[in-house]
Amino acid sequence: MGRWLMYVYDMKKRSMQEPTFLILTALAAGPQHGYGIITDAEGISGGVTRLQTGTLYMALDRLRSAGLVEPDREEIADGRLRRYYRLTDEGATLLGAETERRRASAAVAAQRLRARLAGGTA
Amino acid sequence: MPARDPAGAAVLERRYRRLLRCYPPAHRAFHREEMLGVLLATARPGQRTPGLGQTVNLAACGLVIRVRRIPGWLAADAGQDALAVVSLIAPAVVFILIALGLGARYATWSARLPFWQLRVPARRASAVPGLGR
Repeated sequence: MGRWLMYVYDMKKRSMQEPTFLILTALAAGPQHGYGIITDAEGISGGVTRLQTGTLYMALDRLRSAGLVEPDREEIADGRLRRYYRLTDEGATLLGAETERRRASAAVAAQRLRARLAGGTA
Repeated sequence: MPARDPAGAAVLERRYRRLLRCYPPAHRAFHREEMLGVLLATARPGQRTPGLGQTVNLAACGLVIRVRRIPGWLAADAGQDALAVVSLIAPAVVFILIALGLGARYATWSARLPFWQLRVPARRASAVPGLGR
């Protein structure tokens, strides 16, 4: 519930929240179905984030209407429908911009931590 | 997938189907079967109930998607944010509850007045025991 509230709160700020980032990153490797996205996202996040089904399809619904993701193909496995999704060019562009943003802020953090460490030992 | 317990799996699937009614019909028509597949694939062996976290998540996400799809009177992208709607509605609900509470209090106090005089003493709310001062 807390995670869900954070999710809604992040949507308000219009920054890319973790589930979206993980879903887009998972699809950057190629089309995947829902369960594949969940297991891939868990791996990408180092086991930290396990997307819940409702959260995944809420994000997919929004990403699809924003044109960042689109259905790729459908398969039947064990009598169940599996729909694959793929990243669109717009989705790849947005993921690239978000990756740059994260890289930049991580670089600042790393640099400050180095400076802090240097200051502490001096 | 709880393959060793087909009856349990059927029970779980029925419960998930019921939960998916939280989603708007258009979303359900497109996503229900694949969502059921994912929900059952992520279920523990022998699991028969969706569990509190999953239930809350599905109900909340269904509500958010329903709110998102309300056209017109919400600005196009305001519909994306259920929190905005909740923060609009919640104070209104609280206000209505308070108004009902005060109304009930006032009604018991002014029960003997004819209805056209009901509004007059409202201006002297401080005279009502427990309301003013």
